[in-house]
Amino acid sequence: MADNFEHIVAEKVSGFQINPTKQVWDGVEAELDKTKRRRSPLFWWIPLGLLLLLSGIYLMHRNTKEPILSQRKSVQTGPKKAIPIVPIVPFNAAQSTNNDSTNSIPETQQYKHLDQQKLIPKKIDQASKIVANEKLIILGTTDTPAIEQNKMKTTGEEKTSGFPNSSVPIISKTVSDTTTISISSTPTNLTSATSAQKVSTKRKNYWALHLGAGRTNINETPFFNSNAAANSLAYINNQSSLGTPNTISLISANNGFHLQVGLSRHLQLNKRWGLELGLQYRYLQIKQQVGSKKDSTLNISDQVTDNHKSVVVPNYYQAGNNSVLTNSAHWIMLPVLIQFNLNPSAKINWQLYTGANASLNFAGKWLLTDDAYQILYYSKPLSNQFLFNIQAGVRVQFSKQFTLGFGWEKSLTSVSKLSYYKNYWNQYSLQFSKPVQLSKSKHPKN
Amino acid sequence: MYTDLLIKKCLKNERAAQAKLYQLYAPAMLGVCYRYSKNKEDAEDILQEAFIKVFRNIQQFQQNGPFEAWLRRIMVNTAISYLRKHSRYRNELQVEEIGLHPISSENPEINLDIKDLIECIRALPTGYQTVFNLFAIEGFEHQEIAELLQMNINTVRSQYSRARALLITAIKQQEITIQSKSYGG
Repeated sequence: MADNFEHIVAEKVSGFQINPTKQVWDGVEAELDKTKRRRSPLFWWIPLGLLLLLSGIYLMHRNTKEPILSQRKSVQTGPKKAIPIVPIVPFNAAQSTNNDSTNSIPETQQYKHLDQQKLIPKKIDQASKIVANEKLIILGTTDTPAIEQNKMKTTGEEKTSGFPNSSVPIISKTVSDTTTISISSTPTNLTSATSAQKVSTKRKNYWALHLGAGRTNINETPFFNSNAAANSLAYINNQSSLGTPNTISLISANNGFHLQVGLSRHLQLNKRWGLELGLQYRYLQIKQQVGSKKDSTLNISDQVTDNHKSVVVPNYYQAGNNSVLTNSAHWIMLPVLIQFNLNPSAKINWQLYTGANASLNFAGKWLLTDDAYQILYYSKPLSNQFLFNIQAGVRVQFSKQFTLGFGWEKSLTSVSKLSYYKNYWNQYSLQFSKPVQLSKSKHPKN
Repeated sequence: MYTDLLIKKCLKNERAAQAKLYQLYAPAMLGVCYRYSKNKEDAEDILQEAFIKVFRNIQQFQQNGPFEAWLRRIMVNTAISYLRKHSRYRNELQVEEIGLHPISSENPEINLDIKDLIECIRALPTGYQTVFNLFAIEGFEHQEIAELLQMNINTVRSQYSRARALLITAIKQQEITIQSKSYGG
């Protein structure tokens, strides 16, 4: 009998309808548009990352293919008649052998006397003496072709046009109103023209060991934003959209940390640009407070009810925590970075870098919130997920021995596929790297 | 069939299909939301929130069940969530009653029209209103309601019992009021 009442009521109210105002649909539509906009930054950054990658490949390709002689053309096609680019010969030797002009000397002949290594220190000394005693002014003179060659090299192309690793004596000049000349020498190692070319085409490639540590957190957008997990704390309601109550609440999320170690192959594309390909491991950890706590403001002793029974209000959580959960993840990363040397010749070389990395995340467990529905995800959605990250930073290279850097990295792939409002990794790190020698044939130092 | 077509288009995020689906179901769903709230503005807020969830999660809809039932379930859950979120409902919703009230066997006739009957339900205290809606109209079991509202099952039974008794009283009073008005008029 009792069921009749419920049945009648249910039947009567089932057809009840009210027309909503237009604002309701406007609100729905606006929210759906907002969702689309949230995703759009991803599509801007992916092409940018690809562009950077392709630029790096292009630069590398161009430098590999371009013959060294073609680079010299830029020097040879000056307003003066073409002057062959040769390693600077000892001053006196050049004077004595260049009564006509160096132009007329075949290249092989010019290199020939480079074999006479024993003469070089002596002749350099002589050159120094001449310069010192006679206070020779080089600029504007035409009868000292050998030094002019050096002038061109030092003022214009320097190492890039000639012999970056050359062990040939180099006369460098500091240009000022009163010209001064200094002559320096690096250990001589050339034996022939061919070997000179080999040296000049050799890349300063090396392996480097990387260590790093820094801050890790998870943001709601691929860019700078407040902490997504914290946002969900405005009101904690453990109710999923489809009615399955959760028994755990996220109280707060802390910033975590990461540690990383890895190896990279550094490819020097030219004096300014470098490409870095690496393999790295990263450990990430974030601690989060979880659990439930009764909101004392709702723990009232009386309530407006007919029976005036004592009242407890369970399951309201506003603050506090019962325990701390440690989320940890492990990444295997394949970074590809393009590096730009701001002052490549200096002992302290500042470098800017940018690039991207693909990472495999094999985290065991990770708790994160879904802002949209206040659902907590734990563990499974995160496992075995490929991530795509962009990164950028600045480094300082000290005497080409080791490098210290600061970098920023942001994932373009969401932490979890399930959460509607995507969460993205955001990381800052301090880095240390040092060239290492993996085999005897390789020279770790530049 | 028309609904199925709209759902397929909604799965592709086609805005026109979403709008049509909304127009098709919004009035009935607002009727559901209205039963759980105390005013139309709140009901519209619930409706809006629920439809956003619907469109974002439409891929979760299993085609073998009726779409309207799925839709209604989301409306109900969103309504419960809304009540718990807002303090004007929250304190009334989570009242733990220790005393048990036997369910009355009274089975009155209902001579009210839909609107008046719904107003009687909405005039109940929030906790009673919610439990009555869930049990009598949506067909939830006591245990389900207890889990949904995170209450003790005995509290749910007790609240339902009181809700039922209060509603019958309210219906009778409303009928008398209407009758007196009609006689007076």
